[in-house]
Amino acid sequence: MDILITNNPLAKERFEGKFNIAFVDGPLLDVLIAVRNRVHNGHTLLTHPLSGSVKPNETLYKSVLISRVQGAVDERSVSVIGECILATQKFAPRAIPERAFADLQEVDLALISGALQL
Amino acid sequence: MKLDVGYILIKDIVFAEKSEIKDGILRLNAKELETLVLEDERFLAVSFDIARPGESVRITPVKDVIEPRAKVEGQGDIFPGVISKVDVVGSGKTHVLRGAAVVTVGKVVGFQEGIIDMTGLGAEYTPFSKTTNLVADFTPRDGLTPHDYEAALRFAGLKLAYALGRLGVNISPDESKVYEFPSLMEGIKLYPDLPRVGYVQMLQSQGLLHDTYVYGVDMKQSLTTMLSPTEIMDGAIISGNCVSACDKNTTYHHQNNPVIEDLFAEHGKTLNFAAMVITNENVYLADKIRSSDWTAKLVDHLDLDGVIISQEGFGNPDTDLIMNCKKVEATGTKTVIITNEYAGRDGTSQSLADADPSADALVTGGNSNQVVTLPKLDRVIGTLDYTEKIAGGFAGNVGSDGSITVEIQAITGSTNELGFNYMSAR
Repeated sequence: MDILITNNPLAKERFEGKFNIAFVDGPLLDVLIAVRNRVHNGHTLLTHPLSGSVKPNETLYKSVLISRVQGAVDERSVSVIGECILATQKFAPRAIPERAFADLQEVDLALISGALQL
Repeated sequence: MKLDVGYILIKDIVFAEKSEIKDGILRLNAKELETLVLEDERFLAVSFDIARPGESVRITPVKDVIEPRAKVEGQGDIFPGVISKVDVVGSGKTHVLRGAAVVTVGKVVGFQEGIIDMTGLGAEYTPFSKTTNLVADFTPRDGLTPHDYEAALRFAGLKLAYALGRLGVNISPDESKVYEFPSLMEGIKLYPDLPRVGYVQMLQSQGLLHDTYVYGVDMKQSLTTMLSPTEIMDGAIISGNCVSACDKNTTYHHQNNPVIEDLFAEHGKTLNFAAMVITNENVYLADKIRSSDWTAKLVDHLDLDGVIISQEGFGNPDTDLIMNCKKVEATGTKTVIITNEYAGRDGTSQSLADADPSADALVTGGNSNQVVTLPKLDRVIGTLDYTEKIAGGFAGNVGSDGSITVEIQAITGSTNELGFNYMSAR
């Protein structure tokens, strides 16, 4: 099973058993850093870490799929996750109202589900 | 393909007993329109309003904007595969209610939906402050999922625009324009000395709130393909994209794509508009590789001298944009890319989430992070309740004087990546 790195509880619940879940109990940036660390260890990025036009400072949740298989370091994956982390850091942090949390989880889940056609 | 587009200039929209166009006034029976859209049981209610240029009106959260059009002669009908049967469009005669638009309003997931101000500073950033808008504000039934609500809103807007367009079938247009898109061989024979230029349009296709449909097909399930730009004028491409107001292409943008307009304007003069390619922007990286490979293969096979590539959205599509650019350039075809920027509020950050040395000719639609304060307006159609959740809005951004401070990414069409906007630089 490929590895889903996520901080979205809804995605964790939905994909338990379908993927190996690496749950990150932290902000979106921590998810991207966890992805980068695994990519540096030879996992390949399978979905785009900036999926959706919801900007990194407008959402709290992110789910990214990487390969189960570890091989030689994949340059494209290194480059994409690096750019995504830089892009994320340039957005000023913003308070997101609590009533938006459920919607944001739903959108992240829909994006990753759509990508994986699940 | 040859399409004769007749423009009926609409000076105003009013509610009336009988739906008709008279002396340039679009008169509408609201009850009939209500019956039409409430056929869909997913809606509990709809309210209609009219917003005119210059009025002190704010419309939010905007889902889609659609121009009413009608097929008068020729094959197929408007919005093929969605509202009308699947059939090839793009030839014959089409009437356009120019100056009128249908604007759909409704909370799908509560954020990411745009603002249209009809007056003041905000009006300067959106093209839809210049159209007279029939605004339809929908209330969904309880428990409707975001997927179903998005689909319901999408269809309702198209149904309304279609119905309005039909009122123009027997009206003589005030102006008309003929768009002729020759076959490859005809084009070469007609303009043997002109550079052959193509247009690669990237369509948002990431999933819920981020989808585009071509002849009714969800573009994320398609490979890169080709069509005639005149088909797009007949509604072959429709928007299911609710996200990122500033750079989402509404259906109106597709119907009036300025890249296509400008390529036609130069066609036979400085260039030969030889091909229109559409491709997607999926989340799965293997899809990106496959689609951009296909774009480059098509462009190479068509032996084009240059292509314009426009993207839609931020982040994920930047990767598609750069892949398309790099691979097309590698075939020996020159590219110009159109994007917008997220360069931070001071405009000094890197603009895109991807880059390549081959991307050396770029047109920008502006910096979406630019901050503006929009004055309180007298009337709100829709609700301000979600403004703090809109892309670019800040939590608690509504001032005590009723003004709202937002990044311009909250404004519908402000940094549109087809160039259908008012941002410019000197």
